[in-house]
Amino acid sequence: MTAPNPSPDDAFQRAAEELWTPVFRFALALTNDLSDADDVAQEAFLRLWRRRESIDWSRPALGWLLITARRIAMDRFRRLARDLRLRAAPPLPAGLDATTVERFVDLRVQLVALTPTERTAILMSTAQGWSNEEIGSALGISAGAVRAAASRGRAKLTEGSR
Amino acid sequence: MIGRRDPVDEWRDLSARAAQATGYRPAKDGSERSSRGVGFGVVAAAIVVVLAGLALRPAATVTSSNPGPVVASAADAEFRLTLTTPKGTYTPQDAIEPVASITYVGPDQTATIFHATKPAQFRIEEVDGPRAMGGGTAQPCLSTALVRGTPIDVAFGKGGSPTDDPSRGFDLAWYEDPVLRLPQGTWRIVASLDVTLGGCSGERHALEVGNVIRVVSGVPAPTPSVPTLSAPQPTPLATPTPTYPVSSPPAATVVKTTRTLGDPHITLYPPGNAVPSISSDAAYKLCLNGVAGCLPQPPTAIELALVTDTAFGTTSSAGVDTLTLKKTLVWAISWIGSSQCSFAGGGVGPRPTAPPVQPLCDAVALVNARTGDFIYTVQYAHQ
Repeated sequence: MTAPNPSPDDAFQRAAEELWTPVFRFALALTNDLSDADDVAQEAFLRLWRRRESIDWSRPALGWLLITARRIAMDRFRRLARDLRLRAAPPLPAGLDATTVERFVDLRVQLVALTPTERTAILMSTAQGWSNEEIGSALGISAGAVRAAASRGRAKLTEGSR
Repeated sequence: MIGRRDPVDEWRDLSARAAQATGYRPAKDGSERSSRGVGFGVVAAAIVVVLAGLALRPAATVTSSNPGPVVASAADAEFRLTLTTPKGTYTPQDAIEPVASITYVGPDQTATIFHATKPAQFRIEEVDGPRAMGGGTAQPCLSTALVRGTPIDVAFGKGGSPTDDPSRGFDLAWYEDPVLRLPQGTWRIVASLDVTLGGCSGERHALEVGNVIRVVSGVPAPTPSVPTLSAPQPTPLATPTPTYPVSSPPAATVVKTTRTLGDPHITLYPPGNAVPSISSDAAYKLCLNGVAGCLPQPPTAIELALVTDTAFGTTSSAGVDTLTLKKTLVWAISWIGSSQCSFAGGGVGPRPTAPPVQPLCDAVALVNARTGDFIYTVQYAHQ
């Protein structure tokens, strides 16, 4: 006897519970900013919610979410980076305690020298245990490019810690 | 250093804490997130959709007999947008000088609006004809402070894509002329307000008003000595458009060796034998007329180059990236070591360790050397 397929709402709920951490971490590695990471991850899940009726839930949703998060982050970076602009600092995500924020402030400075690709290549393998192939798939680059980016990033971190 | 943790280990710990503390926050009806608004990309998409669907709002238009002026106004709970064109009839030789006035009429004493290059954009449409000017605009997030009841004026500025077909639009020479002149016909000049309150992704306000004018051959209609407007007479207080230097720009050069900018995704290459369709002066003119995002000081260099930006493009639903700038011929207008930069907030910054000082920055504005379109300006800490 096979279990009935979950409804799209249930499937989404399960994805939101199980996949939030890797998507948030991926967004954090790309953006190096807690507020931006939260926004990017929230937006990726919101888009998944809107497509819950049409998406193929028999396939893992993580790949879809990561590609969507990358696209959102890229659009966001470029739109914010281009042209001269003034904007108020966005509020921090609710729920973060002051200690975590302060520690991240210091850590962020150490990681700012790395490109988003270098950060993601290093951090997602360590934090999530992803392979170079998995990281490359999320970033839209080859596993070899991930390996090279991780190597460059580690060299920068080593240089920065001296 | 003793006691200093490996940053990667530290990140693993902190990212787990942060992920646990945040989590997906579903909206009440599942259609829209209520916490801090949807992301910028969705806002941008919404702007396109809404603008496409916007008809000219029913405005308190004052239809004036010649010689004018022509005034139209529209308002919502927070803003009033008024478009004034000094006369109703012109000749093809006349300079037409429409002005949009934006007034904050909301409940607070002051309000900061967030907008694109200018808080009001213009377009021109031929009534019963195909010719038009207008279209896309860069989407930076500039801000302008408004005092309740005190309008700011936004002078007309040209923007759009030149065409060599005079039956469809306007050619490059027309776009390069900062003065607005129109050929014979009946034209609708449209001003649109598209701003947000409370941040770049905040509460959106969009208004549109239009003035219809005629351009005829013969003797120009006289300019009224005392314009009578039913709308409040605009009182310029502050201009949202920065004042750019009118001095001559540096002589144009070409990029001789490949170099990556402070934004590591952007690389400039020697242009080889590529020939630009617009001059460096025409590119710099986009700074002078406020179309391009430029620093308010003479640039350090204007260089012809090919540019590739590996972080600027579109991604298909299959996840395939297509770069927008890939060896694209541009005029790169550069400012090196400027103190005139306006850096964004952008979240938590490093803890201050010394009294704040004005940081130096480098900035590069890119203008497409084939089409004359302003692409974007990128700025970063001085290298």
